[in-house]
Amino acid sequence: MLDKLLIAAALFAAVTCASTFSAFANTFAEHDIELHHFQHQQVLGTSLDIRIAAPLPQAKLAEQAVLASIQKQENIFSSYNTESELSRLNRGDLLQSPSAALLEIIKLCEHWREQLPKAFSCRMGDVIDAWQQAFEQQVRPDRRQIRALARRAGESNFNISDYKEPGYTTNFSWNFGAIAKGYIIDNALNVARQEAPQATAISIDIGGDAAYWLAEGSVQPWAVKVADPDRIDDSQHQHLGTLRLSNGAVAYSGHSSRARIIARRSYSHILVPRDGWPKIFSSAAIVKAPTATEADALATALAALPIPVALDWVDKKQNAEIAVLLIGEDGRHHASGNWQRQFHPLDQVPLPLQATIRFALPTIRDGEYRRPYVAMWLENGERKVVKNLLLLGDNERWMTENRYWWRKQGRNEIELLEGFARPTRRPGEYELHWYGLDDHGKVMPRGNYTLQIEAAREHGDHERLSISFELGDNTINTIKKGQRELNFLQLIIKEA
Amino acid sequence: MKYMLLTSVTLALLAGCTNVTNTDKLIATDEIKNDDRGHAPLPMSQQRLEQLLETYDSGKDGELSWAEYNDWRRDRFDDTDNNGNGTVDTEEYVYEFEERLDDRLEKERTTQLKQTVVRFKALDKDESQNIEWAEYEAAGNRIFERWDKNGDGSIDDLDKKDSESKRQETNSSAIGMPTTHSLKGTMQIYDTDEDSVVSKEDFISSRRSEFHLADSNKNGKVDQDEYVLEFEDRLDNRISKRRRGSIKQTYVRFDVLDDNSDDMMTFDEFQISGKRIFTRWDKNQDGIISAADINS
Repeated sequence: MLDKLLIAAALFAAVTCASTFSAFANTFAEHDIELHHFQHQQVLGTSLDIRIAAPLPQAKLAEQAVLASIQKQENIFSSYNTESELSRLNRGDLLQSPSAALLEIIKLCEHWREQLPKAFSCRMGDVIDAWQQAFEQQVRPDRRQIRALARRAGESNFNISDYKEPGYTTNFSWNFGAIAKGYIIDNALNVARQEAPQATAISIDIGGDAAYWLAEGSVQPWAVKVADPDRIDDSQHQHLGTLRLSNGAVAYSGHSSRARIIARRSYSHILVPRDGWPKIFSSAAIVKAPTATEADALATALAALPIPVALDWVDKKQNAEIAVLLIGEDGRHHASGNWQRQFHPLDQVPLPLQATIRFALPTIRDGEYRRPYVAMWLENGERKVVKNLLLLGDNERWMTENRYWWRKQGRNEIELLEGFARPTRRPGEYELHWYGLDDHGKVMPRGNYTLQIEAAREHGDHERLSISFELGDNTINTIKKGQRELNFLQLIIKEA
Repeated sequence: MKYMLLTSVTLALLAGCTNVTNTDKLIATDEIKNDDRGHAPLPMSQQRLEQLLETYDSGKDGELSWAEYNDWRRDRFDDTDNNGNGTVDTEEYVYEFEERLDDRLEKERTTQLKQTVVRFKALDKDESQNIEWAEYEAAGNRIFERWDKNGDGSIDDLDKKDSESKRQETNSSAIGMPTTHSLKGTMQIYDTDEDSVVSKEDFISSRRSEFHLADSNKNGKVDQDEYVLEFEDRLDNRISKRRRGSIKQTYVRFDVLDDNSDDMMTFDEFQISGKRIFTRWDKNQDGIISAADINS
């Protein structure tokens, strides 16, 4: 199927309506090259969208090459196809050593497992099979049995060089579900570029995960529509907003539509490698990364980590190319710093602001000193909590001592404590940024708000500070001094 | 401070001595006898002795010597040391604990679900295979009257006196499902706004919504399946929450045991707590845990 689209501003709307993801680049118009759109169904069990700005004969060659490449790799990596190279490897009836592609993906898997050992593993074949079996038989899975499988895989001393020995088998099974799709997309993009040397722009999108490429010198970046992960599989096309990128990839994981329902219970398909059990309070992840392989691996891994750990991991990379948005089961958005700077919420014009919030925990000389539990949030004019900014300390007993926050949020929103809270911190000065979005990723309208911080300490005191402010065009720099558990709270808002 | 006072009072009672000003002695005893969480020691009882012997007395001679206990701990340590490198790391430690915890949770879960069937039969007075609201309401009234000791129409702090039996305090459950068999449990279930008062109106309205929730096909009565499944949902939520807390606590415990914080626990480090546990129950300090430690 071939959609021929002349690039013009008006066509942007058409593309938007036609697919979950869409992109445009004015560059094509400048060079007067047409953007061709090829769509295929039932590719890796979903839909394939190829967009390529190139002369038509080249574009068609690229399309065929992409399809062939995907088919070839599916025959290697598929866990559904019992005759795939992977299935034969897992069964132990692969006659020769694994193919180069298989070895490469195993190497990538083990690399990511080293990077994020608590969150990523392709050694989960037996665990996934056990879950599949529990699902088919609708029998409540045995936690101990599944943990034993996960542990055996995790503790195996497997080394890739073991495969030099013909007939070598591992004591666990592989499953490349966490990375294969990204790998296949990257390869598809490569073959498309080879077949269409005159192309100026190409995107390969398989069921929402996609890689984007622009020729050097292109000015206008791709405007990638980011879908709501919970709606990605249906026709509603709920978009959260737009991400602009020139070259890179986007991948999703963990949307609730893919949870397993077994004996009336819903189990997330995001499994923690340590014990093979679904993550509790799981989140959906949307990741932007330089390649689709990286985006896919990270989307899987970051969804399996506790939200604060995942965000800190990304922020510590300080790599503008990697960004993540996590969406909790409660619908709250948690974004890495890079995401907040690059993402444009849909149909809403965010106030061009960047708020810096600073606060300090005092040094207190006390033999029984314990670090304080801290909650920080924003309330709107109706005193409703619209944005949770920070929680330090995840013990319910002590967080209840932040009485005001507990009454307003904590006791009804257990997920915040379980999924969003970070460890307590030692005395000192801290700073965080806020970009004008509420808990659900929506732009906060102009109006009156209150910034609140509350701190309580075991064997200690309790204190709350607040700053009321008007969100608008004005700049703000307000400081409130504390007496006991907080030194000060400062809010600085200036135009970004 | 409150906790220190409590400790000294308990110790004074146990020792049968009235002199609590001897702080040197207090601290020394405190170190030996308080458990890892700093809780005051419990007296040795016949029941506890039986539990200890059941687990550790390999010779089945009704006594547990330090050597026997040490051997048992050695075996436990070696089992935990999955990769056999002579030390136990954090994950090995937590895996081992998890295994026992899950065994226990699973057993308790099965027992509790069986009891739920019994409970259903008890509630279904007219044996219609359904609980009607009248039956559920009557059971509720009995619960309310039981805990509203002073009969003032609400369950609150004023009803606390004498209501908790000693038996419930020593009953340890890995799940700790709140039940209406204790005042504390009743408050946990029905004091939804956490103000320590359950009025009769609140109570009835909670019971009504419980009934309505359990009646999943909304035919106005609750059959056995509906009753058991509703309980199972709450039970599994509770298990999941308890489990999370226990595992979190196990990581903390490892850090405490791992004296030099190198993420490796040696058998000697492991036995620091072993010695403490043994000493806690060897009340007469003769190196053997036996019937002689009851009341001594």
